[in-house]
Amino acid sequence: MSAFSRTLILGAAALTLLAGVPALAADVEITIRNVQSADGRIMVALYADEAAYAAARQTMGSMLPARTGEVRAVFAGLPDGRYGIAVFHDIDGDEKLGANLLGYPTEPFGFGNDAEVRFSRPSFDAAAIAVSGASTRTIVTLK
Amino acid sequence: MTPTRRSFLAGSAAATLGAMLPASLMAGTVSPATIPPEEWRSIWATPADELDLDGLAVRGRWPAGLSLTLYRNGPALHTLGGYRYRHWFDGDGMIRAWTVGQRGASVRTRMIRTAKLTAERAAGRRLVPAFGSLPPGAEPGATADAQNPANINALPFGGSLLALWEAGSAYRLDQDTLETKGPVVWGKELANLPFSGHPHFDASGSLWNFGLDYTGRLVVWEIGADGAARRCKVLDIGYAGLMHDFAVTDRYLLFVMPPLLIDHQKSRRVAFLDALDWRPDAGLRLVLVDKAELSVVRQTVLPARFVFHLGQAWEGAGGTLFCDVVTFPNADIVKRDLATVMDAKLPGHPRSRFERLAWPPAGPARLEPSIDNAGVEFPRWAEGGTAGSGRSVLMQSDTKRSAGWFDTLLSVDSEHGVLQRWAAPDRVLLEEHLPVGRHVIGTGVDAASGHSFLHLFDAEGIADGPVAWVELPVALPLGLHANVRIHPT
Repeated sequence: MSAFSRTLILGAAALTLLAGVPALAADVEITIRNVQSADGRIMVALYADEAAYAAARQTMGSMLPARTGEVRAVFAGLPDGRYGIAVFHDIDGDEKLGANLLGYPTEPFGFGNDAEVRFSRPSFDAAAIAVSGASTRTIVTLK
Repeated sequence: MTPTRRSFLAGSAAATLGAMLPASLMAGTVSPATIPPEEWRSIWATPADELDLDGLAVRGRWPAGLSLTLYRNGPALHTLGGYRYRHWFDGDGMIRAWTVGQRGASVRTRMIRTAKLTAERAAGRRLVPAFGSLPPGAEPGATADAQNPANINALPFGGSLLALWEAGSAYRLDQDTLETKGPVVWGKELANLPFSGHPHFDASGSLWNFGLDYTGRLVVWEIGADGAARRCKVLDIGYAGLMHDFAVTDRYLLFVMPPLLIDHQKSRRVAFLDALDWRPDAGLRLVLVDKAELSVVRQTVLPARFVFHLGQAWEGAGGTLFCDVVTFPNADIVKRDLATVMDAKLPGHPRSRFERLAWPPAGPARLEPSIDNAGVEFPRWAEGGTAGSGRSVLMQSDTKRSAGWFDTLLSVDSEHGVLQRWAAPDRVLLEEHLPVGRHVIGTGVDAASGHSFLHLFDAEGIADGPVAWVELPVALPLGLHANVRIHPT
């Protein structure tokens, strides 16, 4: 859907780790699977709460070189909380999730917990992981 | 020379394959009035191997100088990993290519290597939902193309063969080797858009098509004769249902939208077909789109009917729009009958009619039967020429009550009714036939011999039966739509 692609596009615009993150707490490691080529970059966005996820206000993001197979993204020292995760493979390097005229993505994408996508972006609850003190890992399989 | 049962079986290939015929049939103990379930099942089975058969005999009088390939697409491989699909339309697309000239014929079949079939073969089971089936463990893909079996139509166009489905991309194949090249991306922002199974040519040579996103939006396409996309536009028309075909006139695109509508609450839990509700209260919606502007210019609603196929459409005096339409009183044909065949049962006698739509610029639209024959389908005509004066060919179902399928070929003029008809021998099942110049060509299956065949008629002598035919020593699963590529001689 267009809302979905717009969200990811906006989310990917903030590509650097934000300054001023509160007290360090835990690391989150995201393993991105099914990367089909080494072209372009893997764009990872974290949303610190449901409102940020819904409004596509990315809390922090990472841009990694693409590598066929798996790519790992690590966000260090995150405050406790729940974080929505969205990822896409920016194959053409335009820093936007490609979309067709109907708004459907034309570049591979995925969400935290491998949340199912059917006609629309998954809910925050489906795409979010909980962080509380210890390090956390999750897998995002690109589709 | 008219092929009879005897001449069908007299072919050299058939003579060596007598041992393949069911013993009961060879002994003449099977009533010709019915097709036994095991024969019926074999008609819907897919040969284990893809075929490359050369040197097939062309019998009768094949016209000098006519060399062509008929490409038919249709669902195949209905069983994988022990799971059998529940509906005819679920099977993966298989191209059946008949290349015929005066010197001989060859037949080549290829499964289309879609992303869906490739992944499912590697897994050894079904992975995604199909049109009418929800296999165990199937999960929807991220895009409609993950479920695209490319199984409805085969169209030689722009130097390639396009294999078409309803809800996803066209697949491009090499038109000689039938090698699958991949999904067609017509241009930037045009990937993964629905490009449905019934594109039509207009007099300018443009190829027009549509697609539905099943949330209410209609995608309209114009592809130039050079194979490049000229225009593509999304129209928010608020229709989310099953529409299979449309019609093209000089100035307009006509959409006829049956009230078989998606219930999205159901669609997350059941197969797509089972999420479609027959809603006669919504009526048969007509939408007219202006080709120049690609915008909706007129709409109306008629009493409910279900529709797969439209025929010729044209603009008459005073701006009245005319269109031939094959209508059904309800959606049982798709909801029930075409699933029944997967259980080796005969479908019920279809109640379809060949009707003519008349839609004046002011005043109500009318839809009335133009011939008496019921049980008709698959209208074809010479596209791209002057519509409204030409003839159509179409199939009629089960006139002899012997095949449980289409067994009669009709030549129809919606002004004057049925002009010619030809009934096939007992237990011969016909597939869609289409005009090729001064001829009509088509294929079918002889259930008695278990052989598929291609045959050719003089367009003006359909009632006299085929003038030439080619017999294949195996049965190919009954297919859907076909188109012809003429070879230079």
